[in-house]
Amino acid sequence: MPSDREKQRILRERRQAKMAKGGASDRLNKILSQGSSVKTSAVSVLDQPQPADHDPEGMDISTIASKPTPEPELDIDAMLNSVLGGNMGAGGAANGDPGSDPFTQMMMNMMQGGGPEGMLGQEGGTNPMSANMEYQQQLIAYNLYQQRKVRHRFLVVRMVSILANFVYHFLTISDFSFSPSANPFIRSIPPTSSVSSFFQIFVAIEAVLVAAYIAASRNVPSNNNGLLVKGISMAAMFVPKLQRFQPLIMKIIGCWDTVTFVLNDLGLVVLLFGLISFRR
Amino acid sequence: MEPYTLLLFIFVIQIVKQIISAVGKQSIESISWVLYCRVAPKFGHSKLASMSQKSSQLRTVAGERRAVSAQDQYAKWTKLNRQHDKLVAEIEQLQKEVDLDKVKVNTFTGYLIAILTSIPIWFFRVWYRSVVLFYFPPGILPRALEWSIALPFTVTGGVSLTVWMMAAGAVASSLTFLFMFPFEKAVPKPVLAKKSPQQL
Repeated sequence: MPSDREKQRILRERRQAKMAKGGASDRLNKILSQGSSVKTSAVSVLDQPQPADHDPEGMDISTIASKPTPEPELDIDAMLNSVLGGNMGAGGAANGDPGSDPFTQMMMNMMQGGGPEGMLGQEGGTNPMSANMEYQQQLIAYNLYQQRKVRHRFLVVRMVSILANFVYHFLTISDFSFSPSANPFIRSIPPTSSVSSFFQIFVAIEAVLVAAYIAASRNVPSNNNGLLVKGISMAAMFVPKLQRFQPLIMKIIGCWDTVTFVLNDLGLVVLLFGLISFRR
Repeated sequence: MEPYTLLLFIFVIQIVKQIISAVGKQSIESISWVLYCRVAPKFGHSKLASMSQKSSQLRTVAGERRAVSAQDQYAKWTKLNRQHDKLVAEIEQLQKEVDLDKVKVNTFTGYLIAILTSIPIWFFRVWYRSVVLFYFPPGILPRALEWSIALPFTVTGGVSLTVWMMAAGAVASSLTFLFMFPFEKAVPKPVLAKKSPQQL
């Protein structure tokens, strides 16, 4: 009696002999469509044409290693040149001399990090780039402080001159012509001629101070670090045409500064009239 | 409410708002916490009272321990050291519990600031929006300016709460800047470090 293992081996050999005669696909489709209405037309791998060169059982690595790789070689320098606008091409990276290219030099300096010729300077720890950045930050802080200083001086002058104008009229006009009130009857009193001089002097003061402020502001460099300007600069990276509008926007911001200047002074006038409106 | 009272009230609120903005919310919170720590034990806050008592005990024990030599009077020093460690642990435990109170005090301070500054302004802005606070005498301002100041709800020549709030806010802001700027630290002009011959 053959054992079970022997039986399985005999059956496997018999099946392989049957498959070798062909008709493997028919047998596969018969099995697949058994017990269902599915009509398949699968093709067995045994019926597929085999490639001429079979995989060798042992692979000769030396032949593979000696074969040249057929992949096309990418020119990284050329790609970088095209990406960075061609500035590098004239520099030298494309000429095979990375040391003479400023961009490559900068990148190499940054990558060298703590080396004596890298990020750190040759005199023990002072980095020219970081020193320059620190200087720029200090300059921005200094300019901001100067702007605030100019604004503060003008604020003092504005407040003093407007208060002087107001107090002068308040003291010299003794009737109701300069007396605001919560009672609407004040609107029915005809004005005296001297009342209008208050606004005339106010306008004259504003004109002089605005002109002086604009002149003084020109001497103090602005940092152009407003959120709006930063936003435009960022947007200009995607839409370069926006860069054209930046000077116009800067002018509008400058005008707005002057407009708030005048509006604040007008606010002071309203406040002063409001504070003396308790008089009946 | 009388127009003049309303007018003054809004002006004071705007001044307070500017002062709070200038001082900073965090500074006000820390000041209120210090005040709370001083006042609350007097009104029976057990944890803070216990903490201050234990802190004074700790100071006494630490002083005694420093006065005793660990080599000459080892037993006494060990006893004081045990007391010291026990008090430190108790104070740390109390500190954790008191920190919860600090969060509550900070929240309360935030609500108080909002109640004092923002809520009255919004309430008055809605409730008294059409009230005329005062009228300008005719002839002082040009008619067009009087008309624009009267916007949006008032008759020409009158000043409404909206315009008054804007004016008070602008003046309060200017006054704060006027008085605070001289106390700011001056920024000196920076000097770019000269390059060494090696760098050149």
